Amino acid sequence: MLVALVGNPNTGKSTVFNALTGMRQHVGNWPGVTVEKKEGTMVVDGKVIRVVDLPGTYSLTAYSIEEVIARNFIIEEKPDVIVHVIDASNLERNLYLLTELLELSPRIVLALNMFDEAKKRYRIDVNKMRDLLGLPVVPMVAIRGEGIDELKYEIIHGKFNPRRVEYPEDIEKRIEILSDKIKQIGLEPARWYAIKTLENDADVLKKLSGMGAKDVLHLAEHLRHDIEDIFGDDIESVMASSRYSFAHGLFHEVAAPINVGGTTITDMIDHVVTHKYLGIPIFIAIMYMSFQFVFLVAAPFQDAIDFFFNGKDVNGVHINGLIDLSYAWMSTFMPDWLASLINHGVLRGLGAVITFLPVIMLLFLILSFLEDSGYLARVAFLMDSIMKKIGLEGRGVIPLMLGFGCNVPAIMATRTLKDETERKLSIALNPFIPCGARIQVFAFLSYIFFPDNAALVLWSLLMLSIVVVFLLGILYSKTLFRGESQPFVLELPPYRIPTLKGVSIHMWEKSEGFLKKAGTIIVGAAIIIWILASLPWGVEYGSEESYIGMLAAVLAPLGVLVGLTPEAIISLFFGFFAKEVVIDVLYVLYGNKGAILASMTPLQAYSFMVFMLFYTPCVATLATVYNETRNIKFLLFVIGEGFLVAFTMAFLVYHIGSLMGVGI
Amino acid sequence: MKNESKIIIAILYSQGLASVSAYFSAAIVSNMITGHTPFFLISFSILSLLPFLYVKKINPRYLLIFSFLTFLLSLGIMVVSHEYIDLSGDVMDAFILLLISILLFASLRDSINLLYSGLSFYLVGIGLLISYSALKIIILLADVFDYYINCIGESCAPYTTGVIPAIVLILLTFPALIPYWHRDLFRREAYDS
Repeated sequence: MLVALVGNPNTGKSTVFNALTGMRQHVGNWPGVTVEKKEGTMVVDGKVIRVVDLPGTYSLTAYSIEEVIARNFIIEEKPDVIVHVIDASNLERNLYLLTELLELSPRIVLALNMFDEAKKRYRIDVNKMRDLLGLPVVPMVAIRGEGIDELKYEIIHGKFNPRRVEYPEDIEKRIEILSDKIKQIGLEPARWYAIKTLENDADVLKKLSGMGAKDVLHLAEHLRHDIEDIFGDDIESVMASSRYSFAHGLFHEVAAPINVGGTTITDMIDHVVTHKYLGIPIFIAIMYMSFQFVFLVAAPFQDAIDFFFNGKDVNGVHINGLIDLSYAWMSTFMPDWLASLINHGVLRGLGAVITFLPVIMLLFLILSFLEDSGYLARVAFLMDSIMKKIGLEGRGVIPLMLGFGCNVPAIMATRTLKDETERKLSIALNPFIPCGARIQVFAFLSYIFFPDNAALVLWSLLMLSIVVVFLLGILYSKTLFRGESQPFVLELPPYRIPTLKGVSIHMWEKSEGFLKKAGTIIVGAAIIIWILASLPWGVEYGSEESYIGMLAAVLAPLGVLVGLTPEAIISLFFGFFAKEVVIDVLYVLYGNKGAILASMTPLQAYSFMVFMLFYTPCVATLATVYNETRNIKFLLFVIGEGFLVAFTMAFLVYHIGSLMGVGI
Repeated sequence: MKNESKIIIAILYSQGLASVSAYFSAAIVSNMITGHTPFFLISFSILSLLPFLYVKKINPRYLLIFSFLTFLLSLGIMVVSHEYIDLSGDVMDAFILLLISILLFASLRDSINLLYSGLSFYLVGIGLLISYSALKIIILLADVFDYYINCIGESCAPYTTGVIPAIVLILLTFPALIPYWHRDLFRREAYDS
């Protein structure tokens, strides 16, 4: 059996080596260099174990001879166990090397040396560290021989189930692409080679060049430039920052500093934004400011686009928009029904899509900004203990938060949850988070029905959704989705000012997805609405005699129970295609804002919004739920729970409000 | 003037900023309930005298001078604000302004002793204040833009608004940035303390 001792300089590695091997050691040089090589043996349970003390190093890059010796030994000699000797009194700094070791070997024992010194600085939760890393962790004071027996025991009998260091998604995708290519030329560990090739590691590049793997090198160069473009920094800094995020996150999870505050800006900000009492109020304030930014800054652009497409009425005189002008022009050379279909169906749908674009783009701009700045990672950290109450790990808050943008990428983002039960729970809860489209409809209705308290009404709906998600999470995690949450390290990247290019790329990637979805589903839905509102031939557009009017009459008795008008029910029906369509349908059915305002009391409007907050998600979200689970029963469950919760909540709001005489 | 003195004056000044922020917060809530800002809210300026409770390391004469100047400044702003400020009707604005003032008040005891633990609250408080104020100014510009977009084809009166709290706060924030520029003078609390 071969054991390698690895660690930063001055961590007491030689003391540990001496304590393990006693007098059975010899000192020489590593081949070809004058770096000292110490080797010895120890006997445990009658087994003779070879122990090699590798040169002290801070990382495993190829910048110094010590680093090259250490990593080549691990790759070439493949030690059975690596003992990572850590100066526990400088825990965070020492954990950086661990992130690199985890990429090379799964069999690592952590020796937390100088534990007595460390206890003066922090309270270290060793058991939590074991759980989070999936590795044996031994607190020790080597100079006094404390912990040596435990270390020997773990070397022989330790259980190794290590967690992988995850890089940001943009990097992980590229590591995967390059790993596949490297596997084809037979280099192992492929992931480590992929990471080092991306990092421009001179030793690895030389090796690949020597093997004639030009296509790998070309691909790596291309991928490296992509990453540098997105993050606006050189590759070495980007990768180092990601590893530091893991080390920083792990440190925050396991060590509580006895004296508060830190020495870097990141430490200082973290001290406050992850504060026990102030962290959540700060989170609420930041999210509220973000939503205000999105909706209020988008408003003039939306109004301008709306005016461009639909024109407007001024003192009873209509100013023509593009749809009116185009319809008048097309009517001169094509049948009226076709001109109406193109303009009142397709072009109106297209107008609706483009009207939403400013909101969607600003929403993703702000979410990308929060993510790239490092704040969203803190939110996951902050919410960890709360999320555990609803059966999810801290990372589960990210898909829920993404749900505020769009439920489709949010449900896809549940892939980051390793546990299948947690993943299904997260998917089941996600539709109750109002997506950007639903928020848009709420904002629209709030401004019509509650002009003085629109933001408050919108905020109350968001809070209501959070309360329902929380209560359902507790219920589900104790009944339908019972399971144990898996420990993991929450990466905490250092704060940075996001680059315009990085934020723009992320914003565009997500907005493009919306445009594609909208371009098909919303325009399609607008055409269907046009057909239902125009047929049978000869009836007035959207009148009671049209199919859409007949549908309203059929569904009316159901709506009475929750205060919904027939027109509101129809708009909810079309909201199944895409939530944004609800506004379009209300416009078609009522004609203008004034008529919408006259059609419902404020209480009915609020009940309508509550119903819409919870009822079945749009068809694209349901398709994603099926894609991610491949389970039709689960899909039906998601639809069913939506209607049940929506009906119950709207019923309660409407009847309690009526009893109290509020908004009637 | 030594950098350390500049930092301490800026921190004393920030307590005035915190009391102004707390005042705007209370004024928004009061404005929503009673329809006007009661004059008693001017008593919030007394909060700017908080350093007298905690600060022991400064010469009492200087503490008195700088705290009294801060008190007068915040009192002046509040009196003028009572007449001219255009308060929003949004309870969340009140919540954010209250949170900012709490962060700044909470920073006092440690930041005056040049400890990171105080600076951390100070920086987040000031950061949140700048973000809030910048956001509100952007929203005001968007609102002006929206007003004129909606006026196309109509004859509208020119857009009018009072001074919003964000403009006052962002102007007052600049002197409070001094501790950030001299953050290297701050230190950790001694381990054995």
